[in-house]
This record gives sequence, structure tokens and C-alpha cells, in this order.
Amino acid sequence: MKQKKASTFGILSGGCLIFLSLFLLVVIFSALMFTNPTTLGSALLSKEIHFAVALTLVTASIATLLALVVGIPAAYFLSRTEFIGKNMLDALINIPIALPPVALGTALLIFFTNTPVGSFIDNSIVRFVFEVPGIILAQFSVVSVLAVRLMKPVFDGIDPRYERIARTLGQSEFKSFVKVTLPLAKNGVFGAAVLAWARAMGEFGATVTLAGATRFKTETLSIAMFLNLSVADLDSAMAIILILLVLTVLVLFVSRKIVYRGAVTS
Amino acid sequence: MRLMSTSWKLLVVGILIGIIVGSAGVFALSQYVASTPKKIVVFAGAASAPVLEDAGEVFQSRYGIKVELRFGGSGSVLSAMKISKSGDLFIPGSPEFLIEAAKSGVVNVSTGDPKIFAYLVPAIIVQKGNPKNIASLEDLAGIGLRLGIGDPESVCVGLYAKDLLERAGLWESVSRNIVVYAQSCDATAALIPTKAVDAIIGWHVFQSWTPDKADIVWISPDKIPKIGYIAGAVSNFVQDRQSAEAFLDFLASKDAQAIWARYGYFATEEDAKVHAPIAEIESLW
Amino acid sequence: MKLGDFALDRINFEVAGGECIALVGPNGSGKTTLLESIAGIHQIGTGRIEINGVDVTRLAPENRKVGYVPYDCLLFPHLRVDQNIGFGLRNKDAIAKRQISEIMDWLDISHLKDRSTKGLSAGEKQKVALARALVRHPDVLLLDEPFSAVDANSRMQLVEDLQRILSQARSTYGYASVYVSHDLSEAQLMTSQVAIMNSGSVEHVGSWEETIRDPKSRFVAEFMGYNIIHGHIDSIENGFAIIEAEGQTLCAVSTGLMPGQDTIVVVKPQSISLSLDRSVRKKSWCHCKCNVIEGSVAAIRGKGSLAQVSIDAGFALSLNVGLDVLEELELGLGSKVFAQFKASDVTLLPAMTSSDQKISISYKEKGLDTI
Repeated sequence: MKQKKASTFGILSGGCLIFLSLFLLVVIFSALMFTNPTTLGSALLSKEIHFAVALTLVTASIATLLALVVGIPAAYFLSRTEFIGKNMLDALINIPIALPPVALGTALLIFFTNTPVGSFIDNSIVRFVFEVPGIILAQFSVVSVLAVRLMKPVFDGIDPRYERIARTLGQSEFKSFVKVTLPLAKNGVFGAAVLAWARAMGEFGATVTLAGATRFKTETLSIAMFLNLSVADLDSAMAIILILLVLTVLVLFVSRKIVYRGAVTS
Repeated sequence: MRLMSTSWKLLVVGILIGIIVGSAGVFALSQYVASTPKKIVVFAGAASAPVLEDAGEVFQSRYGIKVELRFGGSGSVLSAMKISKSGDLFIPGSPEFLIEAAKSGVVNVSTGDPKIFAYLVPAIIVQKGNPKNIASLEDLAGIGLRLGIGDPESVCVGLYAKDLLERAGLWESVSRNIVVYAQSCDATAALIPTKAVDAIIGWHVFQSWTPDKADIVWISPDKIPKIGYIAGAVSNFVQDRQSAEAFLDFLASKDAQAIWARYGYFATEEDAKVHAPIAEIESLW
Repeated sequence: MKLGDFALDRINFEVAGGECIALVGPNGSGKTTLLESIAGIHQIGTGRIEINGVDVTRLAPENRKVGYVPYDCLLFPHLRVDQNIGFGLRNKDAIAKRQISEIMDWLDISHLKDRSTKGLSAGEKQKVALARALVRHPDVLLLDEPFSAVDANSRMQLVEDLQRILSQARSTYGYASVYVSHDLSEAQLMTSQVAIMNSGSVEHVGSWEETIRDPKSRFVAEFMGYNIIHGHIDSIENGFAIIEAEGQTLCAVSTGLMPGQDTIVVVKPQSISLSLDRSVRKKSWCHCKCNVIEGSVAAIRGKGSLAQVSIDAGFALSLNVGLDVLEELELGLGSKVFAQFKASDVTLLPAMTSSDQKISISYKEKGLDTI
């Protein structure tokens, strides 16, 4: 039912959206226009950037995977169970999201270097401080809670009666979760995973504090950008922005395709 | 329904106008506030941080000129000046960065003598009590040690650390133990009190920043090829040249000397050379 | 149903293998809750549930051999019809495939095999849900209001189908079934016994015949739609109780109640006959003690081919009358009319309803997470 003339409110709210989009586009493109193609090209070919790309992809993917392994059951439990102190736990889980990543990274650093349990783990089991596992841990800390936050409403939206019926049909709690709940939650979980992965790819504050900014060792893409800026190497910094943009767009595009193919409403 | 949409319209328009006007007002105000009272913006390497902070306060109370300090790795702050094309003074932790600043047109060292404020000697800083029993530069190559230095690309002391290790033929063996390249002098220094590493190569003053958490192990004099010094120059982006030069003068003055000394910096080349008799000093001319 | 507490009384009934019992009652009386408790979806606090001689009270639903068909079928949306049906089978091998196609044949839904669950008619959904429950050969079949979602037109066909299927299933496999409904006539068709629930307790268990003939409590009588009259026993003469109710005199076969007691007089609508004068209309009644009550027509409601007539005789009497009789007697609103019914067709109940003390099995609904 088309209105003859768009309402003023519609125009104004539409205008806000356009403003936001333009804002983003202008920032991105003016940054890209800053460097010329040749220096940009040679920067893109640098070994250091290739290393950073590989490292970031690997660590972000592992961190996201771990976040899902832990996060899916956690979100499911949070969604289905009532227990004393649930509200408090719910609030607690939100803290890492509100906390600045640098604070999270610092807390982890202090834990591993200054507490008996932490030092034991760091010295004897896995070395996190200033090492690659530290990247994964930092990304995981930031991302896992985000994943739980995103996936809880997904499970909330699945009628628990489906699970109950599955149980009357002979499936254990676990089996009915796997055979019924998960397939129905597929799209939501996938969406959460993509967002978590994107967040992990861009993680900086916690990563740089816990894993340090060592070239060719703990140099993720965002850390590489930071290092390039500190030596005023703007071409390399731009190259990284470009790469991150392309990767983000690719992932979002592909994930949309997969979701729509599944044809299950989110 | 008509009536409601009119009031909604007004509300939205009102809010938007409010936001626009408000931000414009705040912006204008900030510019005004920024420009009226005298202020200088100093981009400095963190090597001189504690002194500059104290000195800045004294300078402000004495002359009424506000001193705004921006710290970081000497290279990092130089990059920030290059990118933003702003800043009144550049005071890196070592002269190499002044030279680079001159090369990239951020400062001009030909006019007048750059003022040298204090001298710095590279040293090994260890955990209090020296639990790993490090006595010399060679000990840093010990198996299982975890070391940190400043990032040679952007931190003054990092540059010096790499240089002296290379000249001692120890870069290969020691660098294997380097697990972190800190991004500024204060970040390098902080590695010890937070127990993040076993030892660092830093400026000697780092130990006096956290004396109850760190010990100093002087490097044998024959292994120190170069000592550093803190000098500053007026940048080419300066807004208030007079105030900027006044601050530089102040930092070299007797009053300021007391501050430098209080934090353990060497006031003269001779004092520094006690620990590094054969060391060179990078020349700026 | 996230209420805190819902109390189920001591529920006592048995269903023999091959038998089907109807579980009826008003909304909120706990039918679905009871059904789900049998299925294991709710854990009960105290009490026992035995299926096939096995005490399943503490068993998880997956370990009880029940087949549950909920009122909204709950077919899995992410699986095809045949996958839904085969969901509960342990293996997915050739034997399983055969079992699935056999049951689909039997229920006449083979043509739906590869369809998704979207777009199925209510009747088709019912059958798929039934197949899904039956393919596992459960010991107990639990059906929750199978026809609630089906429109009136398809209902007849479905009722016939279900009757056929269920009786076949019961005779072949011998499992017991519990059939929940709020529609009495439908329930009567499908089952031989009935359990009537009221606010969480089972008021009455018995065969349909018994229940219809002899409602043992006021609640049951009301639920069956019988007329309830409050009265007072004046005297007992010759085996008949003389009752005074709202100025009218009734007589009924005395059943151990004493004069001076308050009583509840139950008159089934189907026992009442109408006439325009005091003479007993039905010839066969001439030798019996009869009640002839004067009243006026208070309301006439159409109910398909019958009219439901409410009569005001100081108390309310309601009955169904054929349209022809309505015409013949020229009954309209306010018409004076006489309601006649035999004394032997009247049931007397004590005025105090004998509900058991609530030896309650109260529990908190916790879903499946606690055992």
C-alpha cells in the first residue's frame, strides 16, 4: 500500500541510516585513496603481510572453533535451565563483553606471570605469554562470551517440546539435542560463528597485551597494522585495511549465501 | 494519528538539530579553549617520561603555559607527528630519531644547537634479587631465559640493544631468547615489575623507576659501543615557537637538572662515561 | 506452562493391554499433564507408574516404551515425512526402511513419503505423528486431543480412520492406549473406558456404560451434561424418596439416603419427555412412578438436527428435542409445558461431594533436566 508521499518521519529515519552508511563508506574510501597503487601493490606482496594473514586466519579460526565447542553447550544450558543464581551468572558472563580487551589481556598476563597456578601452567604446560597460543587464548576470551550471548536467544527460540517428543521416541538428552535442537538451531549458530570469527580476526587489545607484537611471530593483521603505523609505514597499513575489508566482505557474502540456501528462517 | 506524527516530526527534527548544534558548539568551544591559553604539545619518547611530567608541571606553574605530553616509542610518536602533521616539540629518547625526524622534515636541526638534557646508558635490568643470576651480556644467551627489548624499529632503547648485541657478536644467540619487542620505553621497563620476562636490556634509569621490583646489572664497559642522550628540537609544525623554545631552555636549566638527577639520569657525559668509557655518542651535526 | 506448582491427586487407574481409556475433563483439569507424566516428560513426586508390569516412575522418557502423539503433532520441521517416522528407530537400515514403508501403507500415507512436513493437512499430520509413535511398537500409546486442530469436514473421515487403525493396532500388538479429549461423543467412539479428571484428580473411572448410567459424583454428572437439581428429602415411602426442590415435588428410587438430608437430584436429559398436559405421554411409562413437573420454556437453542430446550420449573431442566416434536407441541419461548421422567431414571447423590482428601502428589514442572 504505497503512500503518495513518504512521511517526514520516514524521511528523517531513512536519512539517519544513509548518514551512517555514508559515514562508513567515506572513511574507508578516503583512507584507501591515501596511497598510490604501486606502493600499495608492493606492500600487498610483502612476506610480512602474508605471514600476518596466515597467522590471523589460523588463530581466529581455532579460537572461534573452541568458542563454539564451549559456547554451544553453555548457551543451551543457559537457555533451558533455571537455577539459583542464574541471573547473576548471566550478568557475569556479560562482563568480558563490556570490559575493554586490553583489560582482559592484562588480567590474563598478570595471571600467567604472577600467580602460582598461572605460572605453573605457563611454564610447564602451555606457554601463553608472548607466544602464539596466547593469541588464540586472547581471541578466545573475547569471542567465547560473545558467542554464548548470540546463541542463547537462538536456543530460546526453539520450542523445548521438540526435544521432549524426541525423548519419548527413545532419544537420550544428548541425542535429542544433536538430532533435533542443533539442526533447528543451525542458522543461528552459524550466524553467531561468523560474527565471532570476524571479531576474532579483528582482535587487538587483548592479543597485543598477552602475546606481544613480535614481527613474524605473534603478528596478526591488526598487530601488523599497529606496527606499521608506529614506523609511519602507511602503505603497508593501507594494504592491511584492504585485506581486512576484502576478507570481511567475502565471509559475510558467503555466509549469507549458505544461510539462504538452507532456507530455514533465522 | 495526524497529530501524533506531527509531534513525532518535531521531536525527531528537534533532536537532530540539537545533536548538530550541540556538536558544533562543543567543537567550536574546544577549539577556542585550545587556542586561547598558551599551550605546547610535546611528542616525546617514553624514556624521559617521569622527568617531562614533573618538569611540565613546574613549567606551567611558573610561566602559565600548559604542557601537553604525548608519550610512546620514539619512532611511534614520530610517525604520529608525520601523519597528523602536528606537534610543537619532539623529544625522542635517543638522537637517531631526531636525525630521522630531520630527514623527513619534521624538525630542523640546523638552527641552533639541539639541547642535550641527559645521558642514558644501556644496561641489563633483572627481577629483584636476580633470580636467574645474570651477570653479563653473554649470560643472556642462557637456555630457557625469556628476554624482552624495545622494538628496534620504533623504540630508542630497542635500537641500542640490538646494536650493542650485534657488535658483541651476540645477536644470533641472544635474540633466540627474546620473546617480546615492547613498543615503548615504559612498556619495555614494565616487563620486569610485571614479571613478564626474566630480563630486559633497557636504559639504566628503568631500574630507578621501580627500584623495589628491579635490579640493575651493568653491562661490561667494553661491550657498550654507544650511549644515548635525550635531546629535543622544535618541530616544523610548531604553533607557538616562543613557548616551545622556552620549554626546551627550561629542560636544560639548573632547576630541571635537579629533576633529571632525581630520576637517576646522568647529567653530563662524564657521569655516563663512568660505565661506558669507550662509548661513542651519536652526533647530530 | 511455566507455572510453579500443579498438584495431581492420587491417580488410580489401570488400562489393560489392548484396551483404550479416554481421559476427559474440563480445560485445565490436568489431562495433558497426566499424559505427559506417563510419557516421562514430567517427573512425579510421589506415586508409581507401571507400564507392562515395569515400574517406570524413575525412568527417563527414552527408557519407557511409550508412543506419544501431542495435540499439535510436533513433527520435526527439519526432517522429511519418512525421516520423521523413522526418527525413533534405532537403525536406519533396510529393515527400518521396510518398517517405515509398511506403516505408511497401513495408514495410507505412502504418497507423502518424500514430502516435507510443511503444507500437510491436519489429518495428514496426525497420521504421520501416529506412524512415528507406532513404528516403535510402544507398550502404551498416548493420544492428546487428536482432532482438536482438524476442521469439522475432515473430522468424520479421520475419526473413522483412527478408529479402524487403533482397534487394528490394539488387537495386533496389544498395547494399551490413553486418549485425551474434551469432546465426550468423540471419546465414546474411540474408547471403552473413561477416566474423568477434575482439577488435577481423577474423579471417576469406569466403562462408558457404567458412567453414563450411574454418575457417582456431582462433578461427573455436570460434566456429562446432566441436569442437577438441589433438593431436600422429605420422606421415604414404599422405597421411593420424596424430595422437595424449589417448590416442586420429585420422587426417586431411595438409595440409602435418609429423610432430612439434602440431596442432589440428577436427571439425564435423555430421560425427559415433554407434554402439554399432566397426562403421561409415553404408554410404556403408565405403570411406573413418574415425575410430572410443570414449567415454562426458558430458551430454545438449535443444535444441528435437535433443539436444546431449557425449561424453568423453579430449577432448570434441559433436554434435547427433535424438531418435529418441537413443532408438534408448538413450543415457543414462555410456553407452558410439562417435563416427565420416571422415578427410576433419577439418580440421587449426597449433597456433600465426596472428593478424596488431597493426598497430593505435587511437583514442580521441570521439563527434562532433572531426574
